[in-house]
Amino acid sequence: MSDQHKFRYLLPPGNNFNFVSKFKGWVIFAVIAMIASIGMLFVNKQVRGEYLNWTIDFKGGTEIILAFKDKTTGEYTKPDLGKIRDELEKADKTVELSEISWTAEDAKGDDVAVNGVIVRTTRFSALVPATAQKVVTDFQEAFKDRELHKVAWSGDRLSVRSQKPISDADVAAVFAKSGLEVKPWDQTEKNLYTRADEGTGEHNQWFAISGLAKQYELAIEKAEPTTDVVVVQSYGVGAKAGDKLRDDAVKSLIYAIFLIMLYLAFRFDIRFAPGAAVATIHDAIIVIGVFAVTYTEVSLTSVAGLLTVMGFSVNDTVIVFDRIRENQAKLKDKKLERIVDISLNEMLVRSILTSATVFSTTLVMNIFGEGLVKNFAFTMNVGVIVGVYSSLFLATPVFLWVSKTWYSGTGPARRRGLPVAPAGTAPTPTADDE
Amino acid sequence: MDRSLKWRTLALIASIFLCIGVLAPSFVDNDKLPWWFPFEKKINLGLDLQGGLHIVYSIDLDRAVDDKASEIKRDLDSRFADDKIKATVKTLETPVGGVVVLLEDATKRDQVKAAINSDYGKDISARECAPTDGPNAICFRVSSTFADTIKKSALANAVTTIRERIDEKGVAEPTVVEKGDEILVELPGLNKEVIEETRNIIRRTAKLEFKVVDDGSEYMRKLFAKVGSAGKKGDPTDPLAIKDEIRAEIDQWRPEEGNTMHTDYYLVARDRKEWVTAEEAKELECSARTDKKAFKDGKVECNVPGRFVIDRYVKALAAQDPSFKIPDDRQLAYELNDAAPTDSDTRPTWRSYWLDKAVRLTGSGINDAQGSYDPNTNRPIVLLDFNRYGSRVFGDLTAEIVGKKLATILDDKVKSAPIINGAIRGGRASITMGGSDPTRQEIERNELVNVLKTGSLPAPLKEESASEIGPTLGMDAIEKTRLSFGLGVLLVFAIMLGVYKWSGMVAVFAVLYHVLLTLAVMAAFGATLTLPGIAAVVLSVGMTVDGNILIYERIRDELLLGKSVRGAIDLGFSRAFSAILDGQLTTAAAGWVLLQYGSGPIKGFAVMLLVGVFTTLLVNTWVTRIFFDWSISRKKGTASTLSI
Repeated sequence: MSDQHKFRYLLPPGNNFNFVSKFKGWVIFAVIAMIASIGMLFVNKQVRGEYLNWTIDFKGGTEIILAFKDKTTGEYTKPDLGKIRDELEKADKTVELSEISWTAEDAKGDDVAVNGVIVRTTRFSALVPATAQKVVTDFQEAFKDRELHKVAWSGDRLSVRSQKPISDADVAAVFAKSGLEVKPWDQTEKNLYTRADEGTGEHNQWFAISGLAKQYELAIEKAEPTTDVVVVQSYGVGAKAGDKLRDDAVKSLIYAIFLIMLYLAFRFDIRFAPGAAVATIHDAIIVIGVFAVTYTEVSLTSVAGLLTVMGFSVNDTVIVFDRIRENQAKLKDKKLERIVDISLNEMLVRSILTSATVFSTTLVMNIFGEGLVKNFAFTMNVGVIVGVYSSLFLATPVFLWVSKTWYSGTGPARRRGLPVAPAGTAPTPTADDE
Repeated sequence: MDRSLKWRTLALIASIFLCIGVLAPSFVDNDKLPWWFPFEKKINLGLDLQGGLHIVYSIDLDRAVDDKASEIKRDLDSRFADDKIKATVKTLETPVGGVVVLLEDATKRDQVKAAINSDYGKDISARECAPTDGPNAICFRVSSTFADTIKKSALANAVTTIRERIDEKGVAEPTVVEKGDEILVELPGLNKEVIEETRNIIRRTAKLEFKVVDDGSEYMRKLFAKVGSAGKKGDPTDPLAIKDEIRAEIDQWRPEEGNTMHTDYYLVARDRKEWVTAEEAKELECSARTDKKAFKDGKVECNVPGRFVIDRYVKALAAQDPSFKIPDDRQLAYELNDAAPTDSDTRPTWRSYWLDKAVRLTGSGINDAQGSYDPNTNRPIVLLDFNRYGSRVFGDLTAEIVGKKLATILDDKVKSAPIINGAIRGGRASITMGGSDPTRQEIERNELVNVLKTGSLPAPLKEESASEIGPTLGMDAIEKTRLSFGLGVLLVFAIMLGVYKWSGMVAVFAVLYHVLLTLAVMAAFGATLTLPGIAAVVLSVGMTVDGNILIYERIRDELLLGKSVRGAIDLGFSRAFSAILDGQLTTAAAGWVLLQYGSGPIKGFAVMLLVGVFTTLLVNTWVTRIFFDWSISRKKGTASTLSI
């Protein structure tokens, strides 16, 4: 009868691999991989100073992309990396420079390749605490005669209250001592930020320093007068905001895992929940471990990638569990181990096919994509392999172990009201399949 | 073909057309679509794809608290000077908001302490003195309750002012939202110049001023006559005014004290959409639009606020007739009103006020403000509490201008202009809200309270994170993503066709439909597409393919067991359904959590994931099935093989 169906097989039907008997090996392998992953984090901490290669999304800092134009012709020029580095390091020792190129329209509307520079620093503002303190001290020193009441920073702005007004030029001189540029106010702002209190005649003035990108721009232009520095993009995260993003990310991961467990407990059976949770956590750890080993940048996109991996893996696990549940009802007379083996064999083709599809898609994205897309695709490549592995060889053993240890391997039996054998004794009361 | 299949096929085809229709505004210019076209919303590209500005602000609470301490110090200084008490008042660096009063005469300590407590009681809390302060010191600090209320008001106030300022610049689709203790501002598609300017404008502290309305002035009477007011509706007669939709109106009131009738003339104009040259756009401050589509024949479409419309009109008049030149000691200021709900024209209106230019009092004169209701009329009112200096100036001012209106001006915009019914002494005043719509009154009242509360303490905004993404790099990212995504999908098609032949083609269609539907759902809600969102689409496409594989494998199994084609298809779909449903519901659960707790990009991911759950279920159970049923019905149910 079955001869009339001409299927293209990935695996010839009737595959009957013995999964359960080898579970121990798979689980040990997974545990070792997890330990190695976590260990790698600490190795990184020792060797590189950070657990993971956090981008500024999480650790705070600024990433600025600069392009360079010739002042006279207005055409893009190729930057001299070394010279720029020397110039920027004068003010900030933490800068890291790397090259980047992209296509853009020039003045004539033609597409041209632009060579730019990515500047990364751990700073969010041009102001570091030491400088801020120094400016305040300098202020109090320089403007003693103005009867200063209060000098305090608010972000990159300095609030000054004094009995007599202070001129912009004087302030610029004090700022310059710490290598800071004053940001000029326009007329409206000038009216707003330099005003006298009608009640007491006290002057309430605000002075601001230019942002980090502007400071860099000015510094480079000062060193290379013929170059027009263009800030193409600047991306900055304050340390506090970075911490918050990380907390949010971690919190949402934990809640998500918990809710998935809860769902499985209700919809399936409580015995399935730990397996799915362990598999999901395993995937997260291994992917993070791969991040640690390759020291890939970990940004918010990586978190999205991680979430995608976990989503796939849970989906995969649930589908395998669904088959186990179905077979449990269908093959009541078989041992649980046998049911698991049958289910896994049945699901093998589908698991391989699905993951192969997703893997090849993301592989293409990894090869042809760039930047964030590449980063995401790489995470997925790792995650798909890990996800399939964990559904087949980790989630099911955990399920089996939970079932045998606490439910004597016969969950449904209890519901049917049949006598349950105490743990440790021969499990199934019904006939063996052999 | 049985009837149900016919209907399902029709529904599928209809849904495809619907999706294309919903998506049309996202891909075609709105102007090019016919006027009757029912869909307007489009998919917005996130900042990571489109470029723009994303900033998170927080309120610098330390500065606000410190300012409050300084204000108390000033108040105490002037009180001690009046009462001839010898004392020095100091504000402290640490703790922030700490105040020390050092009395020379120890006997006055209890008296002064009681006075301070009764005046500032709710804003301060007691504090241990340092040993160096001596026995005659009174120590306290600005309380945390005060800090909390000021934070709340300052946040709400900042959100309103930022929104107003950005709206005025004509930035398309800005996001300004309060999120916890922070304010998130997202401005897509801005160019470099505007970004810098906008960043400055956002962080300007709001300026609160009180100025006197000069009603019944000769100038406004003349302007009123020039604009003209004809017929029952008072339509303008001046051609220039008609062109700009400017109307002239009269406001009359009789104050409680004194019997003289006051008559004020004013102009009203609405926001207008105009095509202007690039230079004019700059002048009108609507240069924020850099979208190339907005340009037509070298002109750009610009939303001209009503206040600019009137200003422009008055300037044009002054150019013709010098007597329309505004005198140096007067100014026109404007109040912004949303269109009334009954109004068919939804554009906001601007009403002019003719003001005495002199600033009579600023926000520094106000101690506190609260929202309340008038006990008699039950109208929303604002209770104002002035500080020592403010109450003196306000008392003198109100005595001088009885019967006139006093305008509260924030950020050069008139927020309210109540009639002063008599001299207000004692440092307390109330402002009754105008207008007739109670909900509107209440909203405006609360806004005014926030303004007045923080008016004296313009708590500065601090940037917590800021990103400017250049549109060039964003475009580059889209190109590359599109290419790699396209190649990836092609690869999936190849695999599915290779393994499942005809059924593989159905799967290919399912994937295409899935992407179409996902995009359409996004467009229908005007959702924003970000890179993490695309990641979620990849995930849900993957799960759709997985769903198809599950069904197909199941059908193969059933066929191998010897079931008929029809039976195998039925069983395949129904058995695979539970696995698909469980997989999707688990995904939905995870997506929901991420939506609740995630921020920014994670949220974008979650939204798309949830949309994907819906589309995956629909595609797997309904769309795919139609093809199989159709294939059976074509062979009249006698087929013994299936290309799968």
